[in-house]
Amino acid sequence: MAQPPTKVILLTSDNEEFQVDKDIAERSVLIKNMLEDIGESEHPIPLPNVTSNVFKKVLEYCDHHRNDPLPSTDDNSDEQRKRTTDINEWDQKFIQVDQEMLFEIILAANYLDIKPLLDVGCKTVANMIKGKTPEEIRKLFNIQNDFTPEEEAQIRKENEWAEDR
Amino acid sequence: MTSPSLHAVMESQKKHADEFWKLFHKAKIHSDAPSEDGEDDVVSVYTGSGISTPNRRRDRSEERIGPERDPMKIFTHDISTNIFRRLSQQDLKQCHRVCKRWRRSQVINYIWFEIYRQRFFDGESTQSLQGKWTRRESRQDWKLMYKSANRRPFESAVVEQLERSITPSQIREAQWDAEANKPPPTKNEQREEYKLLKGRKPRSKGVRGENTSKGEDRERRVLLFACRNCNFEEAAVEARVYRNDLMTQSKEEAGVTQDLGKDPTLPRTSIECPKCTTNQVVFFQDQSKRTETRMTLFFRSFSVDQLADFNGRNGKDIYLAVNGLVFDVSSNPRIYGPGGMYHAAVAKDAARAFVTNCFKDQPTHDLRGLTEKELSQVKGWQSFFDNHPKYMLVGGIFSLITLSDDSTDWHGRYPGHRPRCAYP
Repeated sequence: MAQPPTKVILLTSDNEEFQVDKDIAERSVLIKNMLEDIGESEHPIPLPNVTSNVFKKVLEYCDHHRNDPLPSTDDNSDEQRKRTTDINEWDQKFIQVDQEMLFEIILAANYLDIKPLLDVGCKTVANMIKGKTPEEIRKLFNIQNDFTPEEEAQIRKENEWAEDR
Repeated sequence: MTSPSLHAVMESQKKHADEFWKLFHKAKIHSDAPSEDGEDDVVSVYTGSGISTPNRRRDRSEERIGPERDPMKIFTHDISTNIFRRLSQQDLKQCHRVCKRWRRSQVINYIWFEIYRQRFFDGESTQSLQGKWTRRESRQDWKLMYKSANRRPFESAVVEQLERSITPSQIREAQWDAEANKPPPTKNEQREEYKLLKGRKPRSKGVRGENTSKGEDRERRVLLFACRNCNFEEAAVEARVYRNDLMTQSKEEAGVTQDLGKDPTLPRTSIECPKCTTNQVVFFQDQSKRTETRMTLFFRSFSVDQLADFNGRNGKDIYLAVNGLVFDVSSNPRIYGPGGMYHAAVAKDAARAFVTNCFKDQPTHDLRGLTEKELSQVKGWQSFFDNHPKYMLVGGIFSLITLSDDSTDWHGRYPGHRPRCAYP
């Protein structure tokens, strides 16, 4: 049974070819479905939404997590999972990239349909927002404050109540 | 009437202002922006415009250096929801103060809605009937809903409201009680009432073709048999109401115009009808109107020119064709819409480019010269779109179908999408 793992060829938007073990590539539900559709093929699968440097990162993640159990497809099963912001150590190190890269990774994970990676990315962004003042958030994402002082006061007022958590 | 000297002064002032702002922004970059953005492009952002004096808007955005990276703008709703769901209520409140887009954001509003449901409906999932997020829900501000509901313990608020207000049904019941206790009306009173109604039957719902039908007497709350022609009524024997719905024939024939073949407006093609072997076939939508019948598009043929219209611009749907089969990919405008990565594949049959990956140079349906392997890839793409839950096969360009396998056997491969014989 010790046959070498099947390779899949993937072609990123900047025309770089990647030879990837099939089980790693199949971490991406999109690629998995595509492979099921197309069947065995020696021809590259184009990924027009992903550039090679982002894809390298994604592969790094998939390679490390190649033996994880696949996440359940049931969306409602784990309410808890959707709300936590805990990231395990390896992922935390992995996701320490600049903001642009982080966003690219999230978009790629969404496009390639890699749920766990998408979650890691979203958790990271959530952690960036957590505990910040509006001014800090604006600075973080380069957003312009378009409120008039009156509007700001209004929102501050409607925010005045104690949460129960 | 400006004197030359005054003009010169103005010019030099303008120059100064320019210099000042250039320096100012450069200084800003060095002092508090350790960002990865290149300096060049920052400078060009602020000096590129010809306006010399900074306006108020720019005053307010001093700290804006480099491109905006607003997650709300970059990410889809799904991703944003995924992110903001992980925040606490305190954080969500702060997010509302960031900017107008965030304040109006339906993503955050939806999360408040979830919090509201979680808190007051004990985690009953948002999939349930009342917990569904519809357009009506989206119009409400759920942060404020949550706030007002949260002011005091929920249960006591509801009980109090119940005690204070009388529901409409209580009012009606009180009315019925009062009327039931009234003495029965005299003959004269009944006649007056009847005149007021001008001969119409007070309350009866009839079904055509039946002499009697069940009506109801609201005052006494009983079901009645009432005649549609005279004034006769009697109490119904049992409370059950039967309703007969006559169904017009079976789906296939009902309501289908028989001379469809003569209608010049219908698209036609020359596929052979498996039933009568004529090759004049038109495409049309299933015309039977039973409620159980879902809308079924039978088939539709396209010409290359017609297809070129469906590029997602001006409110048009987005269609693309692979080897003669036309698919509706409007459900994914991010990829196929204008500016999307695959937009080049849209509104044409670019079957060849799906394997050669050069949508820009060779967006053609011409598959000649491709190897067996490559041809099978084209088929793979065809079935990818065909089997994708979000994309729909909407028609075909028959002159372009060159991969001749069983794909002309529409009956087998595309149930519901088949050419129909117009001459039964």
